[in-house]
Amino acid sequence: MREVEHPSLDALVDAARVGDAPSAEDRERNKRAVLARIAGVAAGGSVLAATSTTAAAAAPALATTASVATTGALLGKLAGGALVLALASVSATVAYSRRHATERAGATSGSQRHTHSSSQPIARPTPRAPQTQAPLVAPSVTTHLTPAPAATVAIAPRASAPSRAPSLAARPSRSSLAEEIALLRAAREALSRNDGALALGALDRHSQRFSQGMLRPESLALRVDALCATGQRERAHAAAAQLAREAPGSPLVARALRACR
Amino acid sequence: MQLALTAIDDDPAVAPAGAARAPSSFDEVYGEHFDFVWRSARRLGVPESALDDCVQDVFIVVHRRLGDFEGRSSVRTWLFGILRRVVRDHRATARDRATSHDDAALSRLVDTHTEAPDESAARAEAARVLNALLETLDDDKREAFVLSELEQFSAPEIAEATGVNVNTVYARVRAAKHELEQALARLRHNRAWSQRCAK
Repeated sequence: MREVEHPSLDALVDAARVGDAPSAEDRERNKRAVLARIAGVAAGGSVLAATSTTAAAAAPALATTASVATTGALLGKLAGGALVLALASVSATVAYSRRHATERAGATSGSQRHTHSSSQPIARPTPRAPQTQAPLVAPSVTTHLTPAPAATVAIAPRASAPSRAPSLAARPSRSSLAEEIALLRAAREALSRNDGALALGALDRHSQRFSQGMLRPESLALRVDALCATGQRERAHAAAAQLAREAPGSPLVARALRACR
Repeated sequence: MQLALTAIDDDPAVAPAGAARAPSSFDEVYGEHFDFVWRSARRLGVPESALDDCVQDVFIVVHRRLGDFEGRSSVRTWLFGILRRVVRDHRATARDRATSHDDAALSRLVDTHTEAPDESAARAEAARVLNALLETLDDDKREAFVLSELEQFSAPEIAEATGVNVNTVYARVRAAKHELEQALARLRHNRAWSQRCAK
C-alpha cells in the first residue's frame, strides 16, 4: 500500500462539516418520540421510557437503525481498503465540501443529501418530502428531503421487520396524530387512577378510529396494562401477543409479554 | 434513561436568550434545527446508542421553554445551551464513559480499514475521524471547537451558548486546535507504524 498524503486538520474539518447529518428517518422517528413524550403517552412513563431508552438493550437493531442506515452501512460497505485512502479522498472532496459548507453556513435545516445503503435496498422516488410519521417501533422507512439526482428511499428491513408497516399513503395526518395522542393520554390517565375500565374505553375508541394508527403499538401496550389492571390476564396476554405480531421489533413487546406478573 | 429534565429547565443558563426572530412554533424549531442538534450531539461525543434519547431530551426542553423565548439572540445559541446541558447530564449518568479525552477512540480508528467509494462516504468517514479526534478534548474545548469550526458560530455566539466570556472562547478554540493537531499527528504516526508492520 502506498503512502498517501494525510489531510490537514482544516481539510478534515471541512469534509466532516457536512458528514454528520441525520437521515429523514432520524428526524421523523425522533419527532414522533418527542411528540409522544410531550403528550405523556406512556403508562406511568414506562411505555415510552421503554420505547425511548431500552431500545438499545431490547432491540439493538432499533436503536441503531440510524447508524446502520447512515454510518454503519456506509462504513460496513467500505471494509477492505485503508483509512489512509479514505483520508486521501477526503482531501479530494475538500474543494467541494468547502463550497458546500459555505452554502450551508447560514442554513440550518437538513437539505443535505446522503445516500443510504442496506443489504436489501428498495428504491422509491420521493417527489417531495411527505409528512412521514415513521413508526416509533421498528422504523424502517427513510425518505430523502431533497430531490437529489440519486435520491432514493432506502428501506432497511431488519429480520424482524413488522409485516404491517403502514404505507406512506396510509399515514395519518398530523391532526389525527393529535387525536391519537389525546385518546392514549386519556387511557394513560385513567390507568394512573387505576380505572382500567375507563382506560379500555379510550383504547377501544382508539382502535376503532385508528386501526392502522401510528400509535397502534403504544395503544396495544397500554391495553395490555389496562387488561391486567382489570384482572383480565388471558386477554392481556392475547393483546401482548398481538403486539408482538404487529410490531415484532418494538421494545414495547418484551415488557408487554411480561405483563400481569 | 429518563433525565431530570426539570433540573435543566430550571437552570437560568438554559433560559432562552431569545431571538431576533422568535420561532413561531415547536414544529418550526424542530424542522429547522433538528439537524443542528443531532450533529452537534454527535460531535459532543454522544454515542449512537444514546443519540435519540439525547436529541429528544433537548426538544422536550425546547417544547417546555419555547413560550419563554424572548428574542435577544439566535435560536441555535439557545438550542446549543440546552444540548450541552443534556449531553453533560447523559455523560454523568454513563458510567462507562469514565475515560473522557483519551486516545482510545483514536487507537480504534487506526485499525480500521476503510476506503471511500464516493463523496458522501468520504465525508462520513471524515466525520468519523474527526469525532474520534474530538474525543481527545475536554468538554469545554470540544464545545468551543465544534461551534467555532464546524458550525461557524461567532465568538460572541459561542460565549453566549457556553456561558463564558469571549476571551475564554478564543483561548479554548486555540487550545482545541493545538490539541487536535497533536492528536492528528499521533494518528498519522500510528498509521505509519501499522502500515510498516503490515508489510
